[in-house]
Amino acid sequence: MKPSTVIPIDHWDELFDRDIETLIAGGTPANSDLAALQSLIAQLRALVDAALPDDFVEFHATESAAVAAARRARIDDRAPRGAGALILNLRRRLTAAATSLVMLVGATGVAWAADGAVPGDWNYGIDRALEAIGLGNGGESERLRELEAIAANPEEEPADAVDQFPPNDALMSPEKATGLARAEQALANSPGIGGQSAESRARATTLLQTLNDVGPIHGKAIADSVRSGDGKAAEPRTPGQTGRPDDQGAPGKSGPSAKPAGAGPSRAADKP
Amino acid sequence: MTLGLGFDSVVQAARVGAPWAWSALYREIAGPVTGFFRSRGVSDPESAAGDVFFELSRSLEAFDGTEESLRTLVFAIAYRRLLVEERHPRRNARSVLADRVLDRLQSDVEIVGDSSEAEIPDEVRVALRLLKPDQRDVLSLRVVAGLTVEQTATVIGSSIDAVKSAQRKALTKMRGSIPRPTGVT
Repeated sequence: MKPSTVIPIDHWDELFDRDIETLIAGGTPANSDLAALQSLIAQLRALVDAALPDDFVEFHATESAAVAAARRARIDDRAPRGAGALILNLRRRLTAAATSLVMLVGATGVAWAADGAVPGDWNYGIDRALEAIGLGNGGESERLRELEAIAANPEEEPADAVDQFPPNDALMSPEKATGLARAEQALANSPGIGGQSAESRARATTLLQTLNDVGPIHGKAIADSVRSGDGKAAEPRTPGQTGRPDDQGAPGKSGPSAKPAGAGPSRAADKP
Repeated sequence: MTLGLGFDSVVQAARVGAPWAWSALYREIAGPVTGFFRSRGVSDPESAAGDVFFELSRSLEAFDGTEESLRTLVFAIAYRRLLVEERHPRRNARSVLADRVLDRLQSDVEIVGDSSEAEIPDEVRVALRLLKPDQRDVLSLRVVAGLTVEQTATVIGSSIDAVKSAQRKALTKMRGSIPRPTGVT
């Protein structure tokens, strides 16, 4: 007995699809069932209007042509020419320039406002970010102004402010030392400014003394020392080191705050 | 379509509103379009075809393709028109453009024959009624509109496999409507 050939279903589909294509194209498919549909498919295909009346075609063609022409005319009208194009271009340029100006003014305003920020202000982060990309001073003089501002408003929470203060490695210079001393002196000589309490002024003064007397420490350590209320920095200074690492062995550069370590706390007491 | 090498010129001229170009397009495509609408039981196939060309005249400006792709575009518009007709048969039975065509035809041109479902041979009408709407769509687009499987899939927004499956089922059902010869199982 001859074994029957098993044809996969997918293959059946493929053969069937091929026969369908033959049927649709008007041929005779191999599949007898599909071949039986030839007449039906031919009648279906005959529903196509082989030749529409000329007048009918011309009328529709004229209508479509008119619509297309009107549409093209509208598109052409939208494209500016001559003086209109110049005015449009000028308007676009003015709009772009005005937009740029507004953005520039806005950005400059933010930068300007942030430039005066001190640790504790909402925009101090913006100030530091602008400095990081080279906008704004960001040098020691700005840091010193910030310290003076803190000292002038000690009613604010100093610990919160110094939390934001950058590491003071860069502060240990003659300029910084001068500034610190000036801020410290200004604070001590201006009792009652801003209505600050004696306690808060004392804390700010202690902070400034700490900044001036200890070696390189960071804002967190300063904050901890302020919170503890003893004015001591968390990181001990190397014995024999002054407040300015770059000042070692250069007595001629010493400023008002260039004094031996350990003498700091007595300075405020020396002031009237 | 048989515009061949002149296709690009015809499309360019049609874009700027040349009547001769639209005549050429209409003679090439309108017959299958009306046939498609007729096979799907649209009450006024000529008016529906007029709507299709009206829409084509608005969208031809952005068209950039071959004859086959233009044919696909035309039947995509026709298929949308059919769906609208099926959803809102009364509102869209006679469009504004169709009314104008009718006015013109009734005035000085012999009216093209009534293109209702009555024109469809009984055998075909009975067979088509056995099919689901999507199967009728596929069969009409393949047989009457003359689209390929790929073009049909594009027009109805389906996959090629889905189109093939639909036409297999459609033809199998239609075969069931035809009596088998005596002695054949």
